[in-house]
Amino acid sequence: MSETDTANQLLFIKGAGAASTAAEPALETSTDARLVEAVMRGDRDSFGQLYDLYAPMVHGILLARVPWDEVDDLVQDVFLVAFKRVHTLREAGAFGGWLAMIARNRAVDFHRRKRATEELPENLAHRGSVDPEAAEALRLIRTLPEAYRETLVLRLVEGMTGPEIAERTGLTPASVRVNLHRGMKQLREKLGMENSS
Amino acid sequence: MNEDYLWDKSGETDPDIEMLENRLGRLRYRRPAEPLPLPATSRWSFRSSFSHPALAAAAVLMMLLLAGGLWLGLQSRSGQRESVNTLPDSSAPLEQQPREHVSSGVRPPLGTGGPLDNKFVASDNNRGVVHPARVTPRNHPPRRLSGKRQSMARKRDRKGTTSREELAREGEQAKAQLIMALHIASDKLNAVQKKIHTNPGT
Repeated sequence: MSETDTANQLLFIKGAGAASTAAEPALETSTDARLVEAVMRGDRDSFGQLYDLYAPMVHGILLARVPWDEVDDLVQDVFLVAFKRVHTLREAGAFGGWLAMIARNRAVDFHRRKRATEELPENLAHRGSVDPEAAEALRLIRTLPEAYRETLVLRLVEGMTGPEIAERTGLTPASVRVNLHRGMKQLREKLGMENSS
Repeated sequence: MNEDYLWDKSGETDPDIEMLENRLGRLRYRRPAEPLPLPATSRWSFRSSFSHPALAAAAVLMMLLLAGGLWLGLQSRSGQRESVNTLPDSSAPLEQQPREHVSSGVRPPLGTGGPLDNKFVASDNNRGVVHPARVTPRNHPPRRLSGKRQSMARKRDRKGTTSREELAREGEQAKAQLIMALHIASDKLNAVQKKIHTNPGT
């Protein structure tokens, strides 16, 4: 392996692909920022577009924390709060991280009010509306540390790529990459342990 | 494990990751049929020309103007009351009657031999305006009045006292109204501040 490849691996940069990957999130960020600014000026349609862009992220963050059947309602709650408080946002480019924080706080608030446990109920897998295998996989992910849990849900459930996760949540690409790698490693061990038991 | 596939789905597919994607993808977010029910546009939600600091400043300015207006009204009434209180004893002859007493609507009683009985009020500039400071009542001892004049004098005093009392009452009312207006404006300002700082939800 050449020194360049090693350096690129350490810096999580992958040649030209990384350049284009890095450019795309920047373009998306500026587009999102323009939408946020439009919302601040009173454009409700722009907020609808933001909702479409960020709903998967909010859904994933909540799914990593609260019972599956509560997530859809909480997603709406998060966006309603964001709609009411968007005027408090100082930097339009920070909308994703700000929205993620609202989602996490909403999940904490849910647990505070409902006194629900982090573990999914035992009978959830047998509910007609939830796939048992999916419920079981999600249960295992939810036993992981919070940082890994959230990133893995966004990647495996919502189908977002690492750069998309970084761009939407406001995390650095390096952090997301580390979380994905370590989280997946722990999940594999749990899956291996489940299979062997 | 294929790091690239985990990172951005590039490169060779990782079978374990693909298996998890297929399973967990069933829980993926699905756009609801109905759009998000947004509340009616609130002036608190969007930046507008009437931003929160401007609204608060406008409320404070309104309160100050209201208070100032009422205070001025109170002051003018107090000034009238003072001028009534300093009205010289009309029974004592005066060389000149201040025009202010006439202009304020408080006429000196007629028929008492006062200088205004069909007489022109002399002044320096012959315009009938007399500076109150220039009026110097004669330093005469109070006359002894006849019975009729005494009763008339008593009536006059009573009237003067009554009008003074009325003015005092009005002054008190104006003061009370001013305080109430200040309270109302203060409550409105507090409500505005509360709305600004209240955060619905978490």
